[in-house]
Amino acid sequence: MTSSNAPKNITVSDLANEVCGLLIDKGVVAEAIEAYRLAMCLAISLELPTDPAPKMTNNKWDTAAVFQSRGQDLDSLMQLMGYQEDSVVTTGKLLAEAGLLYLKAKIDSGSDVFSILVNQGLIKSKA
Amino acid sequence: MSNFMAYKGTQTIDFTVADSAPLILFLGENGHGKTTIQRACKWALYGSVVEKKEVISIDKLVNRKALQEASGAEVDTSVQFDWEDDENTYSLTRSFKTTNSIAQPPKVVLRINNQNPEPEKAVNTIVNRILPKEISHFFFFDGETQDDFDRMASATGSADYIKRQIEATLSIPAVKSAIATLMTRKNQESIAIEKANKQNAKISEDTKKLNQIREESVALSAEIATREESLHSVGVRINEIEQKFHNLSETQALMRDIEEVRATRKLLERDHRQKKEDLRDLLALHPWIPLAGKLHSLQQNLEREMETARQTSAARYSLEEKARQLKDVLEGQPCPVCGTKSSEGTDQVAKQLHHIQIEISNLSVGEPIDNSASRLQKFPLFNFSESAWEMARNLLKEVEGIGADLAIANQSARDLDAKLEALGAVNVQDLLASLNALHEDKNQLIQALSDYRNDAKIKQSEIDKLQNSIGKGLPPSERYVFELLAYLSLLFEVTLSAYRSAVREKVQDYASKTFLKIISDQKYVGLQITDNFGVELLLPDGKSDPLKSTGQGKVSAIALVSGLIHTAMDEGFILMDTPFVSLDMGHRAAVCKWATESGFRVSLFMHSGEFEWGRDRAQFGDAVGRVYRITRIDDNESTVTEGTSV
Repeated sequence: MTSSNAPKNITVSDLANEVCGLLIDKGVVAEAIEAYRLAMCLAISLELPTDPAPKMTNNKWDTAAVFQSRGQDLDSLMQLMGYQEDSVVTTGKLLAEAGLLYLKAKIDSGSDVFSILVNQGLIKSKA
Repeated sequence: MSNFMAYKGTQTIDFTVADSAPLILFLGENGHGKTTIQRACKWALYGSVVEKKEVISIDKLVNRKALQEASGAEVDTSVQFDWEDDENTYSLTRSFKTTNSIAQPPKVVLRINNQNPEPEKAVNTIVNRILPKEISHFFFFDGETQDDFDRMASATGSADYIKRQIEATLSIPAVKSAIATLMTRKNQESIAIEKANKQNAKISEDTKKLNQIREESVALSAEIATREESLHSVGVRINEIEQKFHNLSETQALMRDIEEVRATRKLLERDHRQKKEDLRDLLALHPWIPLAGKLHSLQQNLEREMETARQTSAARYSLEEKARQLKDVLEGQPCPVCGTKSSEGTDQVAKQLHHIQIEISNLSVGEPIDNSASRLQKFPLFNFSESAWEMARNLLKEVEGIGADLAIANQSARDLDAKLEALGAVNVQDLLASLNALHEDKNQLIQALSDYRNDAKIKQSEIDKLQNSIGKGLPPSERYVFELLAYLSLLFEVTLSAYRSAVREKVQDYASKTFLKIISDQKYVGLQITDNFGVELLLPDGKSDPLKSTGQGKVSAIALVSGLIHTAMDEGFILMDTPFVSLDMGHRAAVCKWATESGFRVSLFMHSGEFEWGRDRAQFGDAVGRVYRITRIDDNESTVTEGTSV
């Protein structure tokens, strides 16, 4: 993991930028980093399959910014959901990609993203 | 009616009602066949049906479904119209056959008092003698007539229209035609006298003067005709512009609606934006919301595990304590509480200890309590809270609710915009300028016409004087025909003038009474039919106001029609199609009251937008003699059924 003083803005691929741009345009998020966090949580909730060969190449993830900003300790959340501590960054990146691609497909089909994000939260764990 | 337009098979409508209940209600939605019943009556009477100013061709009068079901076989279409007056009964049947979509020429049969049919050629003359086609629209008050009356109600269109209708109703054109014939014959006779006596010096001199005046008179007549034609054109243009002003008022109403919808939309958009921002901020603070359900379940499971572990631990501690005590007993130690040694046998204590040790080993250790605790401690690290999750759900509901309202507002705005576009752009300033210019032209033309007509009267008077003086010295036998014609012409003119005046007063009197029964505005004391046959609203001080609203126009039209019918006959019938359009509830009630008290057999054809059985039925009291319900079975078939309710 990187240090906590890493810059907030992160450099990502064109596709990730496009999806984040769409979400910003629709007023779902104010910044790309929020999109990553939501997308990752959505992917965990939906149990989306992750592609070991990420489509969003050249991602330079600032894991501290994504997972460990103050009050946003998603590193803990991932561990809580059963992901190994030493693979949180790699897995988190793949999950965020899967979530963003899922959201793009939903936006393209005219679905309401707010509804997807909030209503997905209603799905309870099978356990 | 058999296979006539929308009606397949035979439909019978009975118009007979008791004097105490003279109303017949026909209830049906638009397009179900109300107007077709009126058309059937008119077709039976006059052999033609008009729609949008055009005669409907005979092949469109046959019911399409009957034609399809006949599969090429012959289909009979007919309308039989039976009625009676004080002296006779009449049965009129008009019919035609259609084979393979080709309609054969219609036949008409009229039997009077069940005798042999009248000669077919005479039927139209007989029918027109009973109810002239030209005035039939007063009795069959349909949509087409409604348009005419709407135009009549407009300020400019009224005079000419009413004048023509009143004169047609009262056969004035026939009297005027008789006067013109007499005048022509009188002139011919005068010319014959002049020719026969051209050797007479005085007659020759008068003839010269007369010819000159006649030429001037002809020139004047040509000028009058030109001005009348111009006046008519100006009237048409004014009507067109007034129609645009009607569009203008509709446009203004639409603009007001659009502004309201836009204001609502603006508020909704603001609220929608605000709620979305709130939801966005909440999601930014709590990105775990898409996982909330699962996290919640997990948290509950961990808490349950903690509780179970706590209980297990407590039970284990208690058993282990008991086991320790039993071990002490086995080892001969005194009781730590009472200080005495146990008297029970060693075997029994050992047995108890064994059971407790089994119980201890059976207690599941489960998840180590530290592990669950450490996992539970992670929840606050990413700000998990049920209240945040609930807030997100509530905010989403608000966003969706406002979004739905916004979609409705957007659709309303689009509908209104489309209506506005359909009305077209209306430039008020241009319209006003054109209208003012046309009114100026109209006033000039009216003044010019008045001058020319005065001149023409003077010329005619000079002609009359000269014609009378010509041949004064001739023997009476040679002037007999001329003088008789001159006397008859004068008699007809004076009589027509008196007749017009008396009839106008009678129409005005009855129309005023009807108007006052219907109109709610107590400001007026009646209707005034002006010298040039315009309609104005009479004030108590004898002054008058022009018609201002569409409602006033409608009421005036109904009042005028009753005035005309009452003037023309003692009793009669009237079929009114959608009579309540443009009338508010108060005036509808007043028209209902008028219909029950008018003395006519009134049939009202109404749709649900103007008459609701539960709400409006009581307004007719006991005056409803029959109720017919018109129902559309499909696009090509309607049916009319009688019933006492709907």
